Order: sequence, then structure tokens, then C-alpha cells
Amino acid sequence: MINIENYEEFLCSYVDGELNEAETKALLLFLEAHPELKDELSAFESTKLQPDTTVVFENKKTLFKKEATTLISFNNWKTISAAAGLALLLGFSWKIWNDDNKNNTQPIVKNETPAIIKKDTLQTSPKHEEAFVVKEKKKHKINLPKELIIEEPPVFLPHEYIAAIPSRVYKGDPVLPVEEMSLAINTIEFNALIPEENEKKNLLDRLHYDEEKQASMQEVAQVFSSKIDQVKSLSQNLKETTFAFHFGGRDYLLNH
Amino acid sequence: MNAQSFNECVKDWSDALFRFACKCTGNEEDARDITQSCFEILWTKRQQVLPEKAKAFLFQVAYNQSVDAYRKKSRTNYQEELPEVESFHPSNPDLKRVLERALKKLDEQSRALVLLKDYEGYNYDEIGQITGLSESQVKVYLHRARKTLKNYLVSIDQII
Repeated sequence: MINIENYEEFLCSYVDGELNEAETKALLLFLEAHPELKDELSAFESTKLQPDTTVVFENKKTLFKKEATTLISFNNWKTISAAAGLALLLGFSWKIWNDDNKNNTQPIVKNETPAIIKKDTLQTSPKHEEAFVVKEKKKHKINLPKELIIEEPPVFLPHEYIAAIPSRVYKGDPVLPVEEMSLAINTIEFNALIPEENEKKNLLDRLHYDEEKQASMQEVAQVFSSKIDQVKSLSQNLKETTFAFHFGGRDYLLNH
Repeated sequence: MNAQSFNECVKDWSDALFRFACKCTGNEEDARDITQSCFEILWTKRQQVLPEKAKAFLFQVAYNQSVDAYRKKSRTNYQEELPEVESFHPSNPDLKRVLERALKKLDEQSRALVLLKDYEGYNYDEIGQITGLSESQVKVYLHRARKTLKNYLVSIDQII
């Protein structure tokens, strides 16, 4: 409640803008009842200071700051070098693999040529002679002849799937559509022959090959084994290599 | 707070801070040092200070340093009154000059409170946070300062 004892407090609060709506209304009503105090309100209002905007801080540029550049910590250099080594290993492996695929297009088993089935042994159209070529998947159902004479063995390429063409169809073998036979053949991958010697032997035994073909496939498996050994030795070399590189305007050296 | 926010603070508040320090210390050289020091401290503590609280932080540092600087100078110079810092006020130069003289009659703490209220528009609560006083203390000190200023203005007016 505003009265003649405490009105100065209200005047100060009013000048400071700290009165709420009800208090402001009460003060203005009080001043209307005591008009002699309006001059006092004006005096209080004149004590409010106004900032002199002509006074400014010169050379603000001296206060500006820039964020410091982040330094790469090489405390965990072992992890970084391992990651870099792995990346390089994968890169080299990919390159070697690609080069091999480009250059080594000659069949590994050089003396063997695609199988040719004698036309007179087939009871269907002449196109059946292509039925056993690895990539042919034409749907032809044939009646197998009584005997097939393989004049020349099929070609095996290192980067392709093995065409596990039976060298001979025995009388007791079931008659299969050509497509199914081809699919069964194509799903056998070279990789399956590589891992362990025993597994290799078992797999080869399972494939009903004669000794000559098994020897060829072993040769192929050895080529792959030597390739894997190459990659392994490369990884060992990388571990013992010193790397120097330039990064973010600085030179870094990673020793073994 | 990052460097960009900090530089925004420099643009927005360096002038106001300098004016505040100028009025508090009565010395432009001290005010310049205080302003620079405030921003240096803000930069070192930028990870803990939110951008929206930066202004209050700056004025808190400026208040403490200005009051300290004034007290130190008063002790060494045996001089209580602020030296004259003339500033031209085109609208009402007489009132402005009288008011500045009246401001120097106040103690350093009351003067800072009036400046924070009138220059920066802080409320009692915010001034309390900046100065470390309670809200009721701020109200009491400010009202006392207003009455001193008003009495000085009235007395001068009567003389004129």
C-alpha cells in the first residue's frame, strides 16, 4: 500500500521499471491524489543516465580470436600404422589380382582343348555338341548316347569356375537335362580345392576325374597357394617398412 | 562458445563494456585495459560460458576489476573524486554535466549499480548475479543512489 511514508521507494522502483502493472496503477492513483509529488517524480526520472554512444572501444580487431588448428595426435600411432598397413595390403592385393587376370589369360592346362562330342553319337540336332561347353546354358533335353567319345579335353581357365565335365558318362549314370548338369558343374569353385591338402584330396576324389585331370587341378591349386603366399609375404614386408608421408603441411615418419 | 560466438560478443559488447569501465574508473586507459582483460578471461573460459550468458559474464568481470581498480587508485592517490571525463550531450548539455558530477559523488559500488541499471537495462535480480549482491541489497543501494542523485540535481537547480 502506497503512502506518504513509503512513496519514494515506489518512485525509485517506477523509474527503474521494476513495478508491476497493479503497482504502477496504484502509484499513478496516489500521485493524482498528491499532485505536489509529481515534481518529485520528474526529479527522479531525470536521474536516469543515458549512455554516450560516441565513446567506443577502438581497435576491436585486437580482441578478435581465431580457433586454433586441431593437431592430430599420434599417441595411438600403432593403431594408425596398422590401419594404414591393412589399407596398403588390400590395395596391393587388388592390384596384383587384377594384373594377373589381365595377363594370365592362357589356359593353365595347355594341352587340353574343349570337348567335342561326335555328332553321330547324338540323336538330336547338331547344336548338341556345344551342350557341354562350360558357359552354355541352353535348355535342351537330350537322350544320352550309348557312349561318348571325348576327343579333346575341356579348357580350364584360372579365373573361371571349373567345368567339371565328366570325361565319360557311364551306363549306370542317370539321364539329366543338360542345363542341370551345367549348373551342377558351374557351382564348383576353384577356391573349394585350395584350403587344406586333405580337403583338396577329398574334393578331387569326389569329382570322378582321372589322374591326368586331377594333376591339372592340383597344378591350378598350387598356383593359388603360391599367390596367397605372395600376399602373406607382402603383409610381413609392410609390417617392417618405415612410412614417411606429408599431411596437413607437416612431414610424419612412422618407424617400425 | 566457439571463436565465431566470441567475436560476435566483441562486436556487440566491447563498446558497452568500455563505456561502463570508463564511468566506473573515470580513466580511459584503465577502462581499455579492463575491457581487454574481460575478453581475455572470456576466451580462456569459453568452454564453460554459454553464448547467451557471455554479456553477464563480461560485465561481472568488468564490475569486479573496475571496483578494484578504483579502490586501488583511490588509496594510492588519496583522491576520492573521479577526474573529469568530459562528454558532450547535444540534447541537454547542462543536465548531462551536472548528472555526471552527481555520479562521481556516489561510491564505486552504487555508481556501478546505477550504470548497470541505466546503461544496460538489467533488472535487480540480474544486477545481483553480476555483482554478487542479493536482490534486496541491489534495490536498497540503487534507491539510495537515486535519492543522492536527485538531491544533488535539486540542490544545483536551486542554486541556479
